[in-house]
Amino acid sequence: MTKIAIASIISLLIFVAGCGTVGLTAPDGYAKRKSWHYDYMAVSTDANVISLRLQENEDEEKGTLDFWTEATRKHLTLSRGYEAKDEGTFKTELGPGRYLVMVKEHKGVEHLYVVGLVVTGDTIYVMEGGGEKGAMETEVPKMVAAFGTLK
Amino acid sequence: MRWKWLLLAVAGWMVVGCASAAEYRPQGPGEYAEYPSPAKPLAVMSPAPQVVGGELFEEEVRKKEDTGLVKAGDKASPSSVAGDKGGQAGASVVRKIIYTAWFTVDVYDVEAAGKKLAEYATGAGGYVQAVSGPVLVLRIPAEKFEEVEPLLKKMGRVDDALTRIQAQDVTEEYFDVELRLQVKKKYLESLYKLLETSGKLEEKLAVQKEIARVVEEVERLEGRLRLLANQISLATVTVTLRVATSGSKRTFRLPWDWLDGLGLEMLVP
Repeated sequence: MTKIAIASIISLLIFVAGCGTVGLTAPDGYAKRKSWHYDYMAVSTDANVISLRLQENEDEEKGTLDFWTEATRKHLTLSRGYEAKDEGTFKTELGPGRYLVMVKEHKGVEHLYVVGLVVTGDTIYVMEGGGEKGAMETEVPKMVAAFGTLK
Repeated sequence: MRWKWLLLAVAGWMVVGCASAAEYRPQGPGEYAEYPSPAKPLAVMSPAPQVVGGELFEEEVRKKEDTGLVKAGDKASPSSVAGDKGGQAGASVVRKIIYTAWFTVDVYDVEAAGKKLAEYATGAGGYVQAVSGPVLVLRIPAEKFEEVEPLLKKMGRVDDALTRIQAQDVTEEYFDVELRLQVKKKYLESLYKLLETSGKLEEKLAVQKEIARVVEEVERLEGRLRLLANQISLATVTVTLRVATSGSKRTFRLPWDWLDGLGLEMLVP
């Protein structure tokens, strides 16, 4: 009985520890910030933001990475007024990812926005980065590299 | 009247000499099949006095067409047309193709999209030919024609039902006009020489009249050739921009609410 209890506690601890490691490593120069909307968020002194959000892949027919990338692209360009600038792929410990770079005027200033997606069965990992275009131009590759640290 | 026949006979003889010298020469090796020289001198082909106003040359041109100067080949891509450097020896003719396309695109911001398209056109080496409200007529270098549709798809939703892409093969017409022009120019040269050697006033007047007629024809052919060359080198792309949220037939909406949580609005303070 004691052995079973110990094994259960160890399993629980491992599970909890595993849950706790979900996240990504922001590029240098970012400080983590609490947010109710994001599972992880970090901000630079240039006001560039990088974030992670976990979304349930809820439908019975689970959407693939390609499906959600296309849905995200169409949603942002056709419903939200974003303009696609670039796209690409990256790798993470959880699987392959795809990212889209977009541009949009936000509060009167042109901004760059990058969104990365990784899909693993029931979970869609949504990573976002954004900031004013001038400050973001050099940050986009760093953010995509940070998306690759997802684990 | 006798001098007139003599004059025309001399002109005709010079024309034969010119015609053989005015063989169509390829810009690159093997651009087309070998072009045969006229087989017979004018004097044998027809009585010289029947040659009036350079019509003989038109007949010669027609004969050259029949020899298959312009060979049919596979449809070329815009890039190969634009390159236009001639193919390998023995290869088929480089096709001359005019590309024209019409797209209708739903975008969020029509003004910004129009500005982007204009910037793309000029950046690509083309220009904006016309703007009428949300309709832009762009001239894009033919070798970059294939870039346009992917670009528009990045900007918004391309309405496939209204998309039309047309490739008009004008190879035959292009070479035909070019050949006619060369022959006419040679004929003109011979007329100028004739004018110098003509003694009598009546002869000079007759030659000058013919020169005026041929010059007019040369200018017309040059204009046509310029137009064709322009249309071949620059594709014409007409883009109609519609507002995605209100101008299109439906407002784009996907049924997953979490997508609404994406974007700068939530992310950037």
